[in-house]
Amino acid sequence: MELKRISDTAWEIPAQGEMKVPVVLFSSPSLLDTIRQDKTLTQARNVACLPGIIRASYVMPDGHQGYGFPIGGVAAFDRKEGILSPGGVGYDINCGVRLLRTDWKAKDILPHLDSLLTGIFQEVPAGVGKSGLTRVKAGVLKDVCVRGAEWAVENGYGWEEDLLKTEEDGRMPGADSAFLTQRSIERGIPQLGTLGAGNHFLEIQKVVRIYDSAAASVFGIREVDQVVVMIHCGSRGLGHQVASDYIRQMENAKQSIPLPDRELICAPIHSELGRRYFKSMAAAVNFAFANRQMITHRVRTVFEKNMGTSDGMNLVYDVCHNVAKFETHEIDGESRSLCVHRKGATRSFGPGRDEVPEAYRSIGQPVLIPGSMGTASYILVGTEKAESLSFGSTAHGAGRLMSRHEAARRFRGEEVKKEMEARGISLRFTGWKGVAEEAAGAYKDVEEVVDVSHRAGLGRLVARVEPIGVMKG
Amino acid sequence: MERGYEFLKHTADAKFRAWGPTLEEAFEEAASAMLSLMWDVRILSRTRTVEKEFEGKDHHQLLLQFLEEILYLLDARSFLVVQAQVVEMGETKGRPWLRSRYSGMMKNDETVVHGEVKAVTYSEMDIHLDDAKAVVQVVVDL
Repeated sequence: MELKRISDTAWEIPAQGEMKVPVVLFSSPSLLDTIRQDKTLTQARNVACLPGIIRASYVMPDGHQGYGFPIGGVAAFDRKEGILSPGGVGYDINCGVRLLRTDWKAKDILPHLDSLLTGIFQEVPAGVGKSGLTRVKAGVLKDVCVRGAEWAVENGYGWEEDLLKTEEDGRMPGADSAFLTQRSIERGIPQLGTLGAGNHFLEIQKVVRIYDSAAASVFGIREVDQVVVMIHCGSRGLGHQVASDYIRQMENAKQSIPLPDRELICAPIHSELGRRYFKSMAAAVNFAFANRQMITHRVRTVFEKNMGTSDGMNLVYDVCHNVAKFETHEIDGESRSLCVHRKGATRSFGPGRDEVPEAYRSIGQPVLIPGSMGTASYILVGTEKAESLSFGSTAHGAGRLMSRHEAARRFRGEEVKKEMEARGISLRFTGWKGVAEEAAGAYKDVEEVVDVSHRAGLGRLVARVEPIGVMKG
Repeated sequence: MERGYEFLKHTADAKFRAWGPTLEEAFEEAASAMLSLMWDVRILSRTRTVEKEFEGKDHHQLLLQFLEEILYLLDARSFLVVQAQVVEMGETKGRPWLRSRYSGMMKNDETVVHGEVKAVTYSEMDIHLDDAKAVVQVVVDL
């Protein structure tokens, strides 16, 4: 496939054949090598063929093969001509990350680390099929799906100000629980307030480097060794079921859109089915916001018990990694409302945008990029440049390098744990297999992903954090 | 021809191929492949059964629903499937249908679930059927 280098950090597949726009990849020569080994490029090219796509089909630096759209794929569609595709959002709707700051330094926490982790492990259910501590009725769950984190705060989970530091204020507009299937509600009820499994985690981290002290200080990150808490999870079975339900409904609907791949199944944005999918997806987005909000509350409770207080544990930000949203972007000098799909990508808005919380509007939104288990994670700041380069988007993580199957064969959970402990990282987990599957060696180097983001101007480096305590589902 | 399954290379998710002398058996083997990602069926008991019927526009949709039910039973019912059987398959007015039986046990605090399957997908799904054998291929989202 013809790949044309268009800048130090960007490559292009020019529009040809059925492609309506080019593919633009933000990458590096070594990241490109791994991208070429799977179907990422073909998938990005297929996305470029979809009706109503604007400007380009983008691939972020951590791109890899996904379902239909590549993971790390960003595509914006015209509201009239365009489509909505469950494969462009992903199965784990609003899988995302939130970061809590604290006033403690690592040395304050270390003597309590064991009991903190034990406490969190008890308070935040993790692992496959693990039920939450609160079981809500179906009617309440529907309310959760409309009101998101706002519901959680009203019911005692966390602080009012948390909402102002959450994408969409923790409540995505347009959600309607009426279009959720009974199955998705039933799968959601036991899982509210749970972390889940797979690559989801909760980490107690310390700041190891600050690149931009002005931006860091606005985000509440003041010094090296400061402790922060990162929570990575999504909409659990409810979101997975919404994706499955609508893929099936769209499959059964009469299709007039020619598709290069069955996985790209979609519906016109303005169609009845397109609208229903958007409303249900937004409901799953809100479920995930509420979920992370409840976990935040439980983490603060555990810190209160062990450290005497949770004062200062303010939310820095909560970002979505898998979502489709209506946003206004400038196209050829004209302001247009577009439907932006971000699948395994983080919104990265610069200064001035209304969507950025007021506290951050002068500098741009925080962008949270988690590493793999036991490795560094990054805090970046969104840029104005990203808005012109990628509809204001950047990477979302490290991206897998090898399959879980291969990782489980190559690494032993016991050794992964020992190796992490040798680096001063405590680990709590639900099964050895998961530990081996999530070994850092099974992932791409997050450093290089973040470096491309910084150099391309998609999101600028603010701080680097490293785990001292890890809980994985 | 014997029945069985094998895993194939896939970076982010899990891809497997399952086969048997009939489509019913290939479907059952696909369920066994998926279950092997989630828990060890050898150490679990079969104390309950659940029956379910599906219909769809093609066999792809039937296979997807047959497998997806395992995820639903886990999340919504805390039911761990140990064996998934296809009791009967047929076609009415051009639409294929399937009757299935899931046997297994209720999840308790001791049961170890070692892997999460988020969803069953149409990604690279392939169903091949001839007189002598049936082979299906599935990718599940992890």
